[in-house]
Amino acid sequence: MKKVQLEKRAYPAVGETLYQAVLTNGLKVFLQPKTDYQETYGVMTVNFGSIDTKFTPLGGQTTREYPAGIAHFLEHKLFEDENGEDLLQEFVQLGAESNAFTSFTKTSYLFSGTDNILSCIQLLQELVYDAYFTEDSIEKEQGIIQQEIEMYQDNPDYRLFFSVLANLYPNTPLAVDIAGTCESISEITVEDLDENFETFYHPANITLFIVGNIDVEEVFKSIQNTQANFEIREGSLSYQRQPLQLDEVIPTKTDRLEVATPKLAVGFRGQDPINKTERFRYKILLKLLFAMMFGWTSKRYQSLYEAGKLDNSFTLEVEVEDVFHFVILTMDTSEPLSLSHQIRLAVKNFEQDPDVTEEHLDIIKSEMYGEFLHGFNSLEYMATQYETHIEGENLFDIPKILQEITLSDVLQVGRRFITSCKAADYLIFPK
Amino acid sequence: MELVKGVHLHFVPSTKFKTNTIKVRFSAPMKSHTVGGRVLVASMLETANQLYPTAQAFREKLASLYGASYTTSISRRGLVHYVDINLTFLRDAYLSKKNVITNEILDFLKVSLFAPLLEKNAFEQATFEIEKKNILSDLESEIEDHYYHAHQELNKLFYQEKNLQIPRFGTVELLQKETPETSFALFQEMLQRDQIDIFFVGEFNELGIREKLSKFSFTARKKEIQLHYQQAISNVTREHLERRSAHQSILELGYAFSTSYGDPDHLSLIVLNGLLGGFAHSKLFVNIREKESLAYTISSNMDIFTGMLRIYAGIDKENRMKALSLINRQITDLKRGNFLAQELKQTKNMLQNAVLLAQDRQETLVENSYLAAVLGNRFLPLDDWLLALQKVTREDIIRVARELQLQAIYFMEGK
Repeated sequence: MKKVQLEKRAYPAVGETLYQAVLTNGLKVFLQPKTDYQETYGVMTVNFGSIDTKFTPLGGQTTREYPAGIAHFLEHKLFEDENGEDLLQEFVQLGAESNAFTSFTKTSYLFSGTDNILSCIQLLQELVYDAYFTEDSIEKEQGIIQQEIEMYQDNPDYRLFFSVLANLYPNTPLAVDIAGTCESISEITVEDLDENFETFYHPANITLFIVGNIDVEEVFKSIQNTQANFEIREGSLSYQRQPLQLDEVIPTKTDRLEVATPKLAVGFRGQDPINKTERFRYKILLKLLFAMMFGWTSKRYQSLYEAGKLDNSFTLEVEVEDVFHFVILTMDTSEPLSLSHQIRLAVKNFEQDPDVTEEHLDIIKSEMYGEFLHGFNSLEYMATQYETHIEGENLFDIPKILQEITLSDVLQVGRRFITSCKAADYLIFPK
Repeated sequence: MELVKGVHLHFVPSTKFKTNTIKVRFSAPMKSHTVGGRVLVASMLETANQLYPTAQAFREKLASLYGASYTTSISRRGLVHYVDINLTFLRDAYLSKKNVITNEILDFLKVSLFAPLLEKNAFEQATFEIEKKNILSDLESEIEDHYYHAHQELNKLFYQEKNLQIPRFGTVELLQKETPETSFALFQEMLQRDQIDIFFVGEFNELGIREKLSKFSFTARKKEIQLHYQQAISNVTREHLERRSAHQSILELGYAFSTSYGDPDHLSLIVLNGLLGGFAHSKLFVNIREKESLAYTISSNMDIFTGMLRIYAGIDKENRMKALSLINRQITDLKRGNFLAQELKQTKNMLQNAVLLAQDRQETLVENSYLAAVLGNRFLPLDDWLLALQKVTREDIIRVARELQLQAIYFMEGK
């Protein structure tokens, strides 16, 4: 392998240093020493998530469509080695914990440990590069995943969020649970898993982030040694997602469940194009705007709270990914219909909103700064919130970004997002 | 360090974190007639006060202190009920203005304790009613969290002591009795009678803090804190079945043991729990989830202060008997010593890992300094704990396993 240099980036404002490199086989590596911590946390992230169900498999000629939930299914299966043994147990033998999770666009494998760190890092890499599927083991996994799907279906807040998302993105994979459905996962075959694995699980489509009590040089050398076994595959590049097909949103739907208070979700689907390098800042700007209008420090929240229409169940979720971006507000409220109407109206008239002011922005920026720094107490937070698949600004640029942002920046992003966005809501009433 | 009798200060210096943390803990026995009031006090304190009289003004002040947080939390340890005030704020290293934020935070704390939002001799009614309504609706939406519900139901079956059957957040009935007058009177009693522990984790000037807190005019109090609870073993296993419209069914089992905190067998019991259901290599997980695909969730945990080991599993309703018998077999295997030296070793490694990882959290530093103060030499410092862990043997596990007595079974039958 060619000699690859680690690039050191110091972030004195947040007291962190990050080393990064792209290995010759394409793997992106990030190392962040935290020597006063006991813990070392490592995460490998594959650029492959629940929305990636339609693509041309590696070496194939035509686009194929795969059953929903296949990325998550693969996540489960990768923990099995050639003898059907569970790799979780191998981490246990090293005295470390390990886990994995699948999101819309990523699959992440992680460990957290205090001892045998080099072995853990090696095991994590091997886990991601080896896969063994048999008919029997697939059938067994279907049972476990069906339980998992049902468990989430019993959670009304989970249903609320995913249902409004389904209204925003009908006929796309975003309209289906990340784990798929009991029917879709029963269709998954050995061949499907092989094709997905070959297409997505290769160094150029993966990143490795290690943070904790590490010697950077030693860890980097060890990673390079392990990666020498995983050379670049013919024709494999970082996966480029195709835009989602945007059908008309489903404006509203209701459901009845065993809940005490009605639940409301209001979602906004962004349709404006976002440049790859501005994605991180765009997300911050959009969050600032919505936090100003609907957060605890807004006049709107206070008056709804005083009127007993809103309690502390309110959540604001802003997602900005490569092929989709949305804002979703969820809450328990006795008056979901009128609140939904008020929220949409407020968003439409955001430029005249009494909560969107210079003074309020300063307060929200100060709060956001504290919240980010607070998050940096946790190694897991940093390793999972750092966006390893994007270019440009990132997590540790937060102080600089917040300092630079002005009200007109916020308004500008607001105009971009709001003038073209589509809204939908979802209501859950008590049975 | 004692400020006045019954009010203790605990300092844990650290520069490891981005934030400093202050926790004020009110401790009193868990009682049905005070729990509702205490929950409401916690809620009023974190909503507003005389200087910041609306939730908006309150949050705005904290936001402008660089996203400082002031929250309250309710918990229970054994027979004791805690109301905690948690303050977290950035350390000076990350602020342009130095030496000001700790003072501002302490001022904020002082106002919240001694100038709460009042009307005559009661909490301000309008805010109180909103908070009460919100808590009541939280309690009612307990039905949405099946596991929380199942845990409460098992507690009711397992504990003979009435005060341990009450959830730490109280119940709808208990909360409904509270008025702005009764809750405020209870708050005054907490300030005068509860044991108070104040923890400082981070960078603090101890003398300055002591000086500042002496102006809080706390008065001496005497309250015996009795954490441990032990009940007689019953020969009858209490059972309860309930039907609900959930996709999943939940099976919960409660086993009694008589070992208490700091006993020679305390560590053996911790290892037993790890071997049984604490980790991915544990018997329950491997044999019931992995081998039989019977459950997605299956786990065990133990409460050393009340002598209960709990096993819970999310299953399909038709698998109830099968799950019960498999769970029972895992316990029997432990009693007979049917486990590998390797599993024992792995469990110890995982426990060591978990305990070391916990040292990276400010909450752990707070709880350890609390337990060290309350339990004296029954509390093992980290190094001693790790040594004692390694000394646990196979015979120790067999002995504590034989101590386990199944006392209660709860089943929530889903669709």
